[in-house]
Amino acid sequence: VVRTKLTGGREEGLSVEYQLASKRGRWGVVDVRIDGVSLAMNYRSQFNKIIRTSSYDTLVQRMRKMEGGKG
Amino acid sequence: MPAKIRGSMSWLIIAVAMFLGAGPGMACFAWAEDGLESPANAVSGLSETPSASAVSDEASAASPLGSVVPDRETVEEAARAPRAESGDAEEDDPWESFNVRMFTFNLHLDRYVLKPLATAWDAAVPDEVELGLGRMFANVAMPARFVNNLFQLKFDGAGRELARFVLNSTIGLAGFFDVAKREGLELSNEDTGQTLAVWGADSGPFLVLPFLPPMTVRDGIGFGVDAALNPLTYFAPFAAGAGMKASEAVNSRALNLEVFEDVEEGTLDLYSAVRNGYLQRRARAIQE
Repeated sequence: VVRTKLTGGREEGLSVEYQLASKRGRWGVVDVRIDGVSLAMNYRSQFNKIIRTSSYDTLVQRMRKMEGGKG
Repeated sequence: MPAKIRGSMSWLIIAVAMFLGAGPGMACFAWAEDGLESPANAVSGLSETPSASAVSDEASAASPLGSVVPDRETVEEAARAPRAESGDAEEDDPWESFNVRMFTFNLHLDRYVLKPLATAWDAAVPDEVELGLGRMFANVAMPARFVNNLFQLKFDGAGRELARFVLNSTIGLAGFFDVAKREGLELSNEDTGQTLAVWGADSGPFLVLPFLPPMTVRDGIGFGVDAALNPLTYFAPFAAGAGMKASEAVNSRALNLEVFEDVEEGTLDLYSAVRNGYLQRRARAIQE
């Protein structure tokens, strides 16, 4: 696991850390922390809430919708 | 005697009123500031960073969601299981249904009141002025940071705050310019919520109240104390003070117009995204 730290943008500068991991010889980003907030954790929390309050299907639906909207 | 009581009563009322005077702006600004900035930038920023290719590789590999979706029952069960098991013990939110309603209220307040005002303000005022005003508000709020640095035994932080205040209030024209920063004197973000945490207070449940930023019970108490430590609270006459708070809210919101929009696009569930972002950032602020 490798960590890099970037600073840039805005007036105050923003710390961005990429957490990398190698899987079968291929490196990939597993988490991005912006100003200390982990995106992986943030999304996990959103997923949990949606599953808890509605259903797993709703979650998949919403993800599809977002994916479609972005692409 | 009665006069004294009346005196302290009115102080209390002013404090409470200021609390409210912090207003919708604070609430929404704080979402942008505390909870949301990060996911937004991350999502929008990803496409520009070199490492993003790795991310999108991974994403596209997993993209046909159908092929990777795990068994539904297992997932739903896991999500409903006691949270301790999920590994991130951060989410203490027994009042969730109340909070969600308040959150929705604040969101509407932002959409129909604060955001239009901030948009108009943003159009009328140059960015440099907005930033300068933001710095002035931050400068006035120095006593809370100073006191909390002391209470956390961060004497260099307290000294820095003092030096900053002197420099910026004079050469910096009442804080409009941050001259101290150019001298290497950085602002220290210490508040009463953090002090309470350092002293061992538990965060308590997550809490969303109308007109206020999201908080935990502990940080809410801290928020009240910080408001009472802000000179605007006791020097300015009530109406002026409330007006100042309102303009602070509008100004801060104007500085975060795009941020907030990106965030809404990049989230699946805004409430839990804000809650998680807030709790993560608080946890980090306390560690520092």
